[in-house]
Amino acid sequence: MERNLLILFEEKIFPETLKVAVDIATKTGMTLKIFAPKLEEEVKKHLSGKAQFLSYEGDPEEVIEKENPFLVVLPRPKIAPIVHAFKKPWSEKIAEGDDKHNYLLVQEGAKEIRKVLFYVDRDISSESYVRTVYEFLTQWGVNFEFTTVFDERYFELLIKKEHPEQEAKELLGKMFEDYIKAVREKLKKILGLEKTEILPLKGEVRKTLPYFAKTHGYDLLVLSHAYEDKNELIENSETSVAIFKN
Amino acid sequence: MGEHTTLLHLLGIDSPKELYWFSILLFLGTYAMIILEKFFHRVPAALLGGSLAIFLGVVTPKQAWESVDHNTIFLLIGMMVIVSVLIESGFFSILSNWALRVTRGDPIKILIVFTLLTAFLSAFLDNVTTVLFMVPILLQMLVKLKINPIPYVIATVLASNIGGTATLIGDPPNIIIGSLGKFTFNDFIVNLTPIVIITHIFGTITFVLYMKWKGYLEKKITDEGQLAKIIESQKAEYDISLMRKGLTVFGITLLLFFFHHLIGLEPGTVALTMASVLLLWTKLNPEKVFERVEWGTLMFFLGLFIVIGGLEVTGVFEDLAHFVAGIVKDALSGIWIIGVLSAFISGIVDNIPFTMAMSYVLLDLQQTVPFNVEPLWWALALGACLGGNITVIGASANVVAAGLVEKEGYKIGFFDFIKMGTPVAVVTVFIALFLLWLKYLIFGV
Repeated sequence: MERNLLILFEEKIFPETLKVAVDIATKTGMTLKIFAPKLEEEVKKHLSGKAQFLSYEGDPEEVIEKENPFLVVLPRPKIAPIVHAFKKPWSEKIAEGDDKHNYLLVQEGAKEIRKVLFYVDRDISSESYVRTVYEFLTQWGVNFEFTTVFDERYFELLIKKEHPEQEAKELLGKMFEDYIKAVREKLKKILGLEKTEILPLKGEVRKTLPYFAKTHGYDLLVLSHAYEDKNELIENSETSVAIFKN
Repeated sequence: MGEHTTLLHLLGIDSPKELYWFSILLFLGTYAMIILEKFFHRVPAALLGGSLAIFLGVVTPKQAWESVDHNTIFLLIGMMVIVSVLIESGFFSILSNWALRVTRGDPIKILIVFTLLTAFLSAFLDNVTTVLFMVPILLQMLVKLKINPIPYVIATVLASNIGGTATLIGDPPNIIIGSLGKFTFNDFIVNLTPIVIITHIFGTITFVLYMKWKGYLEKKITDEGQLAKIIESQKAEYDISLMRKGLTVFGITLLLFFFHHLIGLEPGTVALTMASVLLLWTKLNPEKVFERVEWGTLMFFLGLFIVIGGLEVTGVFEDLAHFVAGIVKDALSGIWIIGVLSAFISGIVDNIPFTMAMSYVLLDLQQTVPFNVEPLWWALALGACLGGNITVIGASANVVAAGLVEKEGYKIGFFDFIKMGTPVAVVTVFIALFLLWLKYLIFGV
């Protein structure tokens, strides 16, 4: 079945978003459909290769529903965090409110996407999510690394209350190791890989993951619609974000 | 229920006169322990003083409880919870990075920007709130620049006490004076704000000169390239959703602070209620949030309030206030007597109970003396607020700042504060009283 790649603009055209979408379409063989209201000429200036330009009026959600693409690419304007707290970009609202489609929010100013952080957890990430993202990223040809986050804060307070400091530290260390082992086993089972490298992180997922991605030069963070902290992860991320169906 | 029996009662030495002297002894003893910080931590020292006041029978448990200023305690708990959530959200890290970019790590710019902003905010917010807000930003930034934060934190606190003097809502003594003296918000703006603006300039000059003399304003990172690298490398770990909730609640809290006198709610009640709302809304683990609450500072206040309550209950404050009233012969000389004495006493004890006692004396005075006592009310406000800068326990904001830096591994010693606070207090009190005196001299009482 032919897969579509949909790119939507609200008003302003973001050339970098267009460039990323063209790159994906070229490498994965997906058909690129560009939707932008009344900006045909402006969009065409940035285009090279095969693509369909389609104008739209009304709700972008209706376009997405009707086209039902494999991936929706949306631009995400760069906003200062304190402003972001009270002004949510249009594209974020769409991605947060729809868990039936895969989204890629391309951060304004992102020159290219080469290095990707693929977030998998022990309990929620489904087989379908892991397989779909793995195949997509492989086809796209980007470098990606698996990561998982162990939120020790949940256990820390409880364990520290009931155990002496050293014992609590050892217990937490053991829980962390068990958690990483379980995620590794999960990936091995789903993807059938002999050896899987995982970047193990500790902390609160919604803060740790975006911060790690930002400070370690990642261009894209991939997560699932099913994650409890999905909206917060999208908001807190200063890199581009992809959200896939679980 | 059994009657409360005390040690002094059992020993038969509990006459009012004896209790009077015991309250003074307890106060001096507690104060000595606080000063001797090398041997005693100030928190258990104050707690011991407070509990001994009950144990000996200087105050009954009920009187002890009543002498605790609930508004201050509630305000502290409430604001500490709100600030804790904002710290957790990364808000202060973002502001600190922003401040670093604006000041480019220049110590003098940091000092001027922070003290000016603090003084301005303090005029409209409680000083404790301002300090709780500004000090974490300052600490984070100065640590990155490898600069000793203590003098800067002290300067910020001094500025908050100066700025708080400007308005009716800026400092608790002003709220008391406004309430008992029947002065409006505008009365304070007309009579105190211009004086405080000029005073703040002199205060700033004093601590800038002091810090320059001590070499505190030297850049620790002199290589511009390295500095630019530090500034550019600053990235904050944050949570926007939490920040949104924290800032919304903080904003509503500030709004209610502005109008608290109109709606008849104490700032403490507002802060505690809003903190509870925030905890419920964010669903954060309260124990994790409470880890950032300065329990040591709260315990210190609890103990100190009881010790000072002893002085109040036994009539020491009343005697002191009447003594002052006895030596005031006219309004112009009264400005100096009331102002200087209020400043001195406010530097040693918390200014809230003293202002309360002194306000009642002024109310008596305006019925009995032939001159207008209004200048004395303003002198009391200036003395009580600015005098808080003399020692680290002179004002609530000073104690809170000391607690904040202690958590980061630094210490504001009793004498560290005095070295910088006392010259600033002396200059600002003198300038402020002089301007007040000059105003009444020119325009008449």
